Amino acid sequence: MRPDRAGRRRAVAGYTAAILLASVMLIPFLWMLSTALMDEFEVFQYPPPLLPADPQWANFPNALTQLPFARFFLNSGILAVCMVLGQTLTGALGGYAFARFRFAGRGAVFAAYLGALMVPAIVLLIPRFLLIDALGGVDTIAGLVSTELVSVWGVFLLRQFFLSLPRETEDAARVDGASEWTIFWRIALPLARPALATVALFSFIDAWKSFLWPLVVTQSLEMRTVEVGIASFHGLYYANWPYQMAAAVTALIPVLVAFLASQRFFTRGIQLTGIR
Amino acid sequence: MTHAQSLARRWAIAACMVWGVATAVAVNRPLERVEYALAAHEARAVARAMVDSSGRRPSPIRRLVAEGSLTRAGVELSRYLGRAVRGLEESDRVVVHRSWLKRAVSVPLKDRDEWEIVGVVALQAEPWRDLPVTLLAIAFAVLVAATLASRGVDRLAEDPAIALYSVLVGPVATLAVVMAALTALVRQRVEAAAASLPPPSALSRFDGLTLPLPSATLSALTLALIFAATAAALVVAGWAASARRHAAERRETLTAWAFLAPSALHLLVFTAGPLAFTLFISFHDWDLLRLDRPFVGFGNYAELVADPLFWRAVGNTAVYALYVPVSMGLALGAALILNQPLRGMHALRAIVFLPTVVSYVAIAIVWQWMFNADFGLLNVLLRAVHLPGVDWLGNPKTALVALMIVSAWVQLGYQMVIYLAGLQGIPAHLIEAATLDGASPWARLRHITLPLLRPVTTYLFVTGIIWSFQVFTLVYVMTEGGPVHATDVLVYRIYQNAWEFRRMGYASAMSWILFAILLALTLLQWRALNRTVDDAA
Repeated sequence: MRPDRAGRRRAVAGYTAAILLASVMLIPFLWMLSTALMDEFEVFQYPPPLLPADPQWANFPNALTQLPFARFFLNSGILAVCMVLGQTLTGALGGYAFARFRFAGRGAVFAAYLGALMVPAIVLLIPRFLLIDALGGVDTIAGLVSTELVSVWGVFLLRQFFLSLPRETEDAARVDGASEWTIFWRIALPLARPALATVALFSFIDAWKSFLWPLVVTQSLEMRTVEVGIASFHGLYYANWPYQMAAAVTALIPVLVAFLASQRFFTRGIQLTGIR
Repeated sequence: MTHAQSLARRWAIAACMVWGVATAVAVNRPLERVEYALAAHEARAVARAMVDSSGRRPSPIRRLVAEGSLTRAGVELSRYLGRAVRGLEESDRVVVHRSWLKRAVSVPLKDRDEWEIVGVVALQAEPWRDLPVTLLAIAFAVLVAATLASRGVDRLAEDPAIALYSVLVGPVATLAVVMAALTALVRQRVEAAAASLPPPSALSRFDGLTLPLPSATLSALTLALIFAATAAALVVAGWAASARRHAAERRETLTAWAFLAPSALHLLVFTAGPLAFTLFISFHDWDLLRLDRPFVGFGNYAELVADPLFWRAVGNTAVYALYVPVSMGLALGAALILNQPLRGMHALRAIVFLPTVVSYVAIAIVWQWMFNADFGLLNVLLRAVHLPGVDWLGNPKTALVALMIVSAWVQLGYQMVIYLAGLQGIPAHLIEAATLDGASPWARLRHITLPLLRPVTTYLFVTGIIWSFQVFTLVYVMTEGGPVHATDVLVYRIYQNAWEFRRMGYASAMSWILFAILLALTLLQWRALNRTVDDAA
């Protein structure tokens, strides 16, 4: 028996299967990019060309100026920044409280947080909208952002992480007379950086992908986010597939960059909370 | 508890009751019918001013009324009509009242032919016509509640330090009961008054003139928040007092709560409150643009049961959820492929995971293009192997299947990552031992890997079903529930009822049913997971 040859054969088979799988997963993305560069009428040839004969890079500026896409990106950006900051900060504070303190009401509050995790977003959609409406927040950035500032999932993830951290440094600081806030801010938080990054990334993705809430809480075109914006673009330029694809490709880019730059945090985040 | 404290509490309760009665007397006004005559063209102008052409964005006047700035709204209206207008000032008690205790309804007053609007009729409910009986009932309820509350508190108040706090709980409970009773009564009277108004057909013709009462909602909300805050403060005060002897413990609790406060308050305001509110809405016929939101009890739920479109949506959602086991099978295969200890697997995993993270709308759009009957990539491939093309999204029989394909493609990456974690948790020595015993790869998969992955499989299955029940974006972008309701799923129906048909109550009832289904699934998951853990142990 020649293990090295068998191993090589297995490796070849493995690579073949893996690359085949990855290319099937990639096809829609490649098709999106290819169509985005085609001429408006080129897509309606039969059989359709796989690649554009003459890449129409002008599709991008042309498509993106049909609607105020810059504004959409700005709105999505504001939403993303607020969600990332809000969810990581409240998550760290809450997670730290649950992981480090024994306090009256902890069991009950923890159960309540767990319960909140189980409430599907759709149940909260109508009352949250009415609440924001009563507060005058419909069609404003404040209304869009305010309901999304806390993620219970983030609290749980950071609680798990703080539980896994040793307490010695914190106790030493406590003996030295440091205040609880100093201990949290100077000692615990810097150690939790990887977990914070995970929460921040997931908040960013959530912010970018959120659709139903921005759809109902914003009404004017200038307040739309990118997701809602390309959905309405889709409705307006229904027959112009290259324009739609150009808009779609542009919408993919921010998340794509964030994902590729920090891929390891994603799997860690999913695995930390996905299975308990 | 000392005699003096118990006396003080009784006095406080009595004071609250007196306060309740005084409030009751203060709002005891007869049902008033106030008519404001306007010239026909003025009435039309009012109607125009109240709703703009789109009917969605409130006009300046309407917005001002909604904000409770009646005086400014009156000024605005005067400017609009070119003469001074009575009737939009607070002293007039017309159209909208700011106070949560007063509720008024207004209807257009029409000419003899029921054609032109010639004025506005405002009715204010008079809640206390049957005062003695009502009052007795309230007093009785208050006494019972107060006694119950103080009994409970007495038991808590072993520590003398807590006694001060216990003195306060009774009155606050009393106040809450009085307030609730008052609100309920006022509500009931207003609804009775609304019933005496012109028939609904005439009402709906001039929908724009019946104004909503957002300010009342807001003040009720504020009130509820104040009560909640007071109760919470009392609980905290009581606890702090009882723990006086353990300063360290108290300090730790206060610190912890300070850390928790941002998320806890947010959850209270934006999750717990809305959850209760949506249950409340589901018992009402709740239209955003209308003033009267009559209580219908289980009417919405009864209507749901009889609504074929609802059942269609339930069925579609259930069928749609069937993509979950399919994509899980594929994900397990992908995880097995990508779990090989080879270089470059990380990059390939990232590619498979990609659809899970990127813009859902963009994915929906590109798949819609790929599903295109004539020029879509899928049909081109089908025809290349001499199979007939399918009008994927245009045919009611295949539209849902098309959505399931997209979802499987999107979810595959997520499920694969979870399976990978599961695979990496399987001890290597088990596999090695089986290999040494001569077990084939298939046997190893069937008898070692799959049984050990069972908790992961259960978890993925149930969470996958839960997610699939909440599908919206794909349907909204790709099919809008069509063709002929073939892809009408629950969340899409909820959205449509709430924002297109403006039936917030009906949609809330539907969302509660969905919630109940998902809750049942979650409980099932817990039981299943516990069982698999027990089996493994």
